[in-house]
Amino acid sequence: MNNGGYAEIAHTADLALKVWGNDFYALIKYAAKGMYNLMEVEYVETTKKEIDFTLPLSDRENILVDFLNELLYLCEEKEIYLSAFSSKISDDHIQISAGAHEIQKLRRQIKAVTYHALEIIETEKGFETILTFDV
Amino acid sequence: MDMFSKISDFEWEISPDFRSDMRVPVRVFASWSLIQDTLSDKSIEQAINVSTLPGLVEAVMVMPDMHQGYGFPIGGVAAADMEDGVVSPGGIGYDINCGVRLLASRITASEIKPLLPDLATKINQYCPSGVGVGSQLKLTKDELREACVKGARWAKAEGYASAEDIRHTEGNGYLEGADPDKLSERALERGRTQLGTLGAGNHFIEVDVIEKIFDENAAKVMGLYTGEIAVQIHTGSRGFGHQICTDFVRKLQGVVQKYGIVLPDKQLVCAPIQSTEGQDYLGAMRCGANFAFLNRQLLANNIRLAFEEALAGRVGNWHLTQIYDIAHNIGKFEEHIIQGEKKTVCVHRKGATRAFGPGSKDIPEKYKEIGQPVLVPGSMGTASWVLTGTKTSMERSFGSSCHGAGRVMSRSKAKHEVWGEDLMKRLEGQGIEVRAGSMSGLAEEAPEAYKDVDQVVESVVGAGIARKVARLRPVLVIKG
Repeated sequence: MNNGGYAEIAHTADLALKVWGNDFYALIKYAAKGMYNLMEVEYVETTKKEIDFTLPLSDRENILVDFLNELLYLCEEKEIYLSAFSSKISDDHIQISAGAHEIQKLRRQIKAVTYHALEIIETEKGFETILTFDV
Repeated sequence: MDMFSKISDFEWEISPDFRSDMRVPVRVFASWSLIQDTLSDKSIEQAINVSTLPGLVEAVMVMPDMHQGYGFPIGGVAAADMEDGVVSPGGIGYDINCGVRLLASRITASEIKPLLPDLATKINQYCPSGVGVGSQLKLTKDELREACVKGARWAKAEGYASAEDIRHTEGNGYLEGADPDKLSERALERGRTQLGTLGAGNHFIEVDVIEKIFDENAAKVMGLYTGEIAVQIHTGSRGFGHQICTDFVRKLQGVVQKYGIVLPDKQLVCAPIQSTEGQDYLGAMRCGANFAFLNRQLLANNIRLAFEEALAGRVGNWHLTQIYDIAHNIGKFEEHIIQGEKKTVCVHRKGATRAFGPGSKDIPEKYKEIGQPVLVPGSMGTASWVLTGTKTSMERSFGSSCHGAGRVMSRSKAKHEVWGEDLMKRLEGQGIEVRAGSMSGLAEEAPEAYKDVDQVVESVVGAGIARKVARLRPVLVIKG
C-alpha cells in the first residue's frame, strides 16, 4: 500500500501539486516524485552511483523547499535524477543519500520551488501540503 | 464586486478598509470585463496581500494582463519608501529582468516569406534554446563577475553590441550597484554557461510583420514601417537569476521576524531597503538584472549573424537595428511624484513594463518627445504591440504599463485541450513558421490559454497609461 501520493492542481500561470504522506519522510519523497513528474523527466533506470547532500535543520517547510530546490539544481545543472532516498538527522543538519540516475530528457523547466501559501498540515493520516512551482 | 470603486471605465480601486491588514489601496487598470475574467483566480487576493507590506507608497497597481502568480500577482507594481520601505525578492521574481527586446529591419514581408524556413534554421543554430541547454560561451567565474556588473556594456567591449544597442536599452543595459560578492557559488556556477541562451517555457524569438501603424510620428521616430519585418526576443536571466532569487527568498525567511514584519504569505518575504539583508539582496539582484540585459544583447547579436547568413544577397538590406529593450520583472530606484513631492522610491515590477512618458530624464534622447517604447508581446500566433509611455502613466502607475496578454488557462488544462501537433498545423495554416523544442510545451502556450492582447492594450490605452504605436503579427516563432 502507498504511504503517500501527489496530485497536480490547477494554477493559472505556474504549476501546483497537492502532496501527502503518512509521515514527513513520505511527504518529501512524494513531493520529489511529483516534481519530477511535472518536469517530465526521462532517466536511465540503472543507478549510476549514490550521492549524498546535506540540508540545514530547520522547520518542515524550509526543509521541504531546500530539499526540492537541491533536486532542481541537480536535475538542471548535473543532469541527475534521484531515487531511493534515505536520511540521517544530526544536531544541525540532515544528510540525504540517494541513488543517482543519468537524465536522458527533461521536457519542462521548473525555475524554483516557491513558499507561496506553503503550510505543511498534520492530519489524522500524516502530513499534507500544497506546493507552487515557478515555471 | 463590491470591493471595487470605479475611477474610470479602465481604472478601479480597492480601499485599504477592505481588509484590516491592508496599508495602501489596490488600483487596477483594466476594463470591467477583464477584471471579471480574473476573479476566478487569486490575482486580486495576491494584490491585496502585497498591500500589507510595510512602507509602500500610493497604492499597489495591477495591470490588465494580471493573473495569479506566487506572492505578487503577475502584472503587479508596488513602490516602497526608501526610508521605511522594504524590498521583496518575490516581488521581482525568479526570472530577474525577464524582458523583451525589439529589433527592426527594412526587409518586407513579401521578401522574407520564401526565406523563412532557412532563417528559422539559422536562428535555431545560433541561439541555443530548451530546458537546461547551455551556451557555447563559457565564462570563468571572474569573467562572469565582471559581466554581471557591466551588463550589456560587457557585450560592447567584446564586440557583440553597438553604441546604439546600448543607448536603446532600458537604463543603458545595466543597473548601478550590482555586487557580485553577494552571489552564491552556485549562482556563479549556473550563470557562467548560460549567457546567450533563450531557455524554455514562455520564452521565444519571434519574427513579425508590422501590420498597422497607429501613431505615424512615433513609429517614424522608432523606425517602424507598415509591411516591414521586426524581431522580438523574450527571455531573462536564466538559471543565474533563478538561483539568486532562490538564495534570497530562503535567506530572508528568517529575517522578517527580526524586523517585526508580519506577512500573509511566506513568498512575500522582504527586508528593509536600508538593512544589510536588503542591501545584500539588491546587490545580487542587480547582477541578475545585468546578466539578463547582456543575455538579450548576445542573442540579438546571434540573430543578426543568422539574418546575415540566411538573407545576405537574397534581400536588399538584412541589417537589424535596435528599437528598445525593456525589463518586466525588476526592482529599481526611481524618482516619482508622490503626493506632490519628487521622491525616490523602490519600484517592484512583477510582470509589468516601465512606461516612462515624454520628457522623462531616464529615456533615450531619441524618444524624449514621444515617450519610451513599451513592448507588449501577445500570445503565440497572435498580435504583439508597440506602445509608448505617457504623462498619465507617470502620474497614475509609477510609469508602468502591461507586459503581455496574461494567462487565463492553467498549463495542465491547455495541454489537455490542445494537441501540440494540431496547434503547429493551425499556426502553419495561418502562415506562421514554428520551431518548438517540445510539442507539450507548445500546447501549454496555445493562444487560447491567454487573454486577448488587443483587449489588454485597449485597457491601458483607455486608462491613459500607454499610447498605441504599432501592431505586429508573427510570421516565425521559435520556442525552447
